[in-house]
Amino acid sequence: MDYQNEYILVKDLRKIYARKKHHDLLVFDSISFAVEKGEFICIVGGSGCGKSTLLRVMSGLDSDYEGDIIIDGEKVKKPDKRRGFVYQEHRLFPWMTVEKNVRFVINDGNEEENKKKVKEILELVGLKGFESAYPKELSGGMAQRVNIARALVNKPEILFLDEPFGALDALTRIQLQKELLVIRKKQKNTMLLVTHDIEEAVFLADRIIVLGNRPAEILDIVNVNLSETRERSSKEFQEIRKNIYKYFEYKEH
Amino acid sequence: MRKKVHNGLIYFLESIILLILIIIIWCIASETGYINEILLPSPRMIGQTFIKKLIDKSLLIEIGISIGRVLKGYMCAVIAGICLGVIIGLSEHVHHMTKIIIQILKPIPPIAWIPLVILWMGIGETSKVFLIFLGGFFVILLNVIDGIRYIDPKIVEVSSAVETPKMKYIFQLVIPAAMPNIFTGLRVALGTSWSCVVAAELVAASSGVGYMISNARNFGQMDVVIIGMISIGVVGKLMDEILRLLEKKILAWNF
Ligand SMILES: Nc1ncnc2c1ncn2[C@@H]1O[C@H](COP(=O)(O)OP(=O)(O)OP(=O)(O)O)[C@@H](O)[C@H]1O
Ligand SMILES: [Mg+2]
Repeated sequence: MDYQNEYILVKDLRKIYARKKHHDLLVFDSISFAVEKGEFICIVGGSGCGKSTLLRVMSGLDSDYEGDIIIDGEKVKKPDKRRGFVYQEHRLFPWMTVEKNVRFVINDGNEEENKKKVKEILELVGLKGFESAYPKELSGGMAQRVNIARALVNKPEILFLDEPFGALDALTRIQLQKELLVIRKKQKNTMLLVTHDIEEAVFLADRIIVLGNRPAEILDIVNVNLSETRERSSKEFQEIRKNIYKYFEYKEH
Repeated sequence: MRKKVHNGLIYFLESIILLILIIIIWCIASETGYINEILLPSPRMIGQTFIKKLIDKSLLIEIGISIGRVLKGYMCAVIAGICLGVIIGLSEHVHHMTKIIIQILKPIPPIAWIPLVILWMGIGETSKVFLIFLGGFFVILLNVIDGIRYIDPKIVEVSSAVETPKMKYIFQLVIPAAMPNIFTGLRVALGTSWSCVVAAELVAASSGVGYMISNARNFGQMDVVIIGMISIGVVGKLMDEILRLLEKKILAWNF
């Protein structure tokens, strides 16, 4: 593989959590993969295998790693507003309205423009009319929409999503998956989404990275060669789903 | 709806029934001579003195003077407590440096400061205000520090990930996030400041509820002493109620 031309490159990534009471925890020993611009990557893996950790180091939230993470030719050392992050918990500020929550993360531009930006993005995630609601007045699905709006408002080139729909009911989840694809089509972001829902991964991804358990390694990278509008019940869809599912079927003793 | 009104009435009665009972028993015990009126004046006596003091306005004037002093000292405590608390809460180093001093100064009751305070500030208004300030300051300071130190790091990460300017971070995130704690501090401190008023007015005062009490003691007017005590209690309760309403309004997002 010629790594020079890759948009995102993760090479020999090694991550250790130093812990006080236990011995240190080796999360990844050596992980390498590359992502093309505009790709939708899903990362699946068991609970606690290091999915959040992988997103955190890739987005610069955690810069304590060994190996290389290179985005657009630059080594990732800290967060950057060109990269958005949708956190696993929605992390909204309860003292701010929906509109203010989204506006908080914009740190440049003039007042007028920013107001317009926030308005557009809230419309995009289907929250028109809820601008002045407080987080406690929102349903889980709506809170997660705000969370996504907040990550999108700075027009990031890359969007990291850490189990964004994990806490939602099945119907809302399917709805938001569709909306996410619409957003991506409009904004053309590169997306990396962590999930433990294999069906969700097959529905959304161009490629699926399957992570194994501690220290996590890449078991497989599955190409999802399906049409843009995916039918969950189609044979091809189920084929790919089964293909990934088999990695999690047998537990070692 | 009817049921709700009914429940509300019972709820209210329940909250005052014990108080009424105590007063009735006190009345009966006094009127039948069970209680020595010199040790504990009867409610009737207290009531009469109370009405007299209401009519000649002396009670309200003394209370007003005390409230004025408390508000001055309390406002100083609020401003100093919040400003210093934010600075200490935000910096691990400053917190570490100031911790022991604060922990040692905090348990010293304002009364113990009186000799020094008189020496430094004389027996004027300043020394009284300062004693009240001491009564509220540490409570506010510690609550602000805690409120800020225990902000959820996940929420802080949202802000640091987008390189939020420091001032915006402090005023839009840190202070609002610490607000529930800050308000707890403000409420407790208002109570402690207010209850310091007696101690403060022991310092050669010639006015205020504290003075009223110590003066009445010298003349053996226990009814006036009790009126002073009850006034302090009632005003304290009312002030807490006002802050509580303010808190409900400002922290609507938290309720
Ligand atoms: N800050 C930390 N300090 C020490 N250990 C950590 C820290 N964060 C995570 N870990 C550990 O690292 C491992 C991977 O955690 P991570 O959160 O990345 O898992 P995950 O795959 O996202 O799990 P889940 O699906 O439950 O969200 C876990 O065993 C976890 O206990
Ligand atoms: Mg996780």
